[in-house]
Amino acid sequence: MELKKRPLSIKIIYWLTQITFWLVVLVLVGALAMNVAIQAEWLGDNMQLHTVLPVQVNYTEKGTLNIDQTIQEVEFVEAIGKLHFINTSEDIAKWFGVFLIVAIIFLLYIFLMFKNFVSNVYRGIVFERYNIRMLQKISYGLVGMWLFLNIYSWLFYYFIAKRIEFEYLEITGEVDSYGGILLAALLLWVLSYIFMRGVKLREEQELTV
Amino acid sequence: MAIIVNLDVVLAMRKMSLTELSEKVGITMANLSILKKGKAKAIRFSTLESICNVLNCQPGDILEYREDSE
Repeated sequence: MELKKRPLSIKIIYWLTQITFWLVVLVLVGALAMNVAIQAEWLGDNMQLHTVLPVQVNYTEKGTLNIDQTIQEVEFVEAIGKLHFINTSEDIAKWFGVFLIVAIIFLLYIFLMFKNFVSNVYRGIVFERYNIRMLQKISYGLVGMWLFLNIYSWLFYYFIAKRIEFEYLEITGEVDSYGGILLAALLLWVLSYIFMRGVKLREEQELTV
Repeated sequence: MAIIVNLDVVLAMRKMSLTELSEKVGITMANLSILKKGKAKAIRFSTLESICNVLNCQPGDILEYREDSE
């Protein structure tokens, strides 16, 4: 069914998805080029790697909060931050390069499915089997991404975070579990299951003589 | 599919076209075509009754069960 007039929100989502998808493709191409350079050892030992630290850190710093002349004492206790490798060695860079590519491939797959889904909705194709399968594929992609991030985080914890020593802050064993991604995947899968049941009921209704 | 629709056979025996049946039964050609091609998922008793009435046959003449050969 072709939509005669599309709502503005669908148009905005459609164009945002298209732009974001091609940006992710651009990032992937850049990451691939970067990886080739890293694996071929063209960049040397002075790369400045900046990465998310998927482990919680404890840090004690006292301060004051001033609201309407009332002074409240506060204490900074824990955070999830970023790690900067000063003059990253080639070995570390190579591993991070591989992880980056895998993460971007997962991201690209999820975005590709989402782009196709939104494009179908934009063209008025909503309750169709292949469109709902896109939702299922997005949820599988999210589960894959969640698994990958967990593996990455634990590897990061055992091989890097556990071995770092700071003067004032302590790296804990609380590794980020990315539960939100898993929850989103489950929600999407349940939704796609409900939609698929709806499609089957509609088909049955249409094919009843 | 295990249920075979023999509507075309009965129609041929009665020398009746699908269009004629469609007019007499009051079912659209599209729906009768779905039934004839065996694509239908379900058939209403009322539809079956009308077809049997017009073709002067039994439901068993139109529908047949065959075991799936796999």
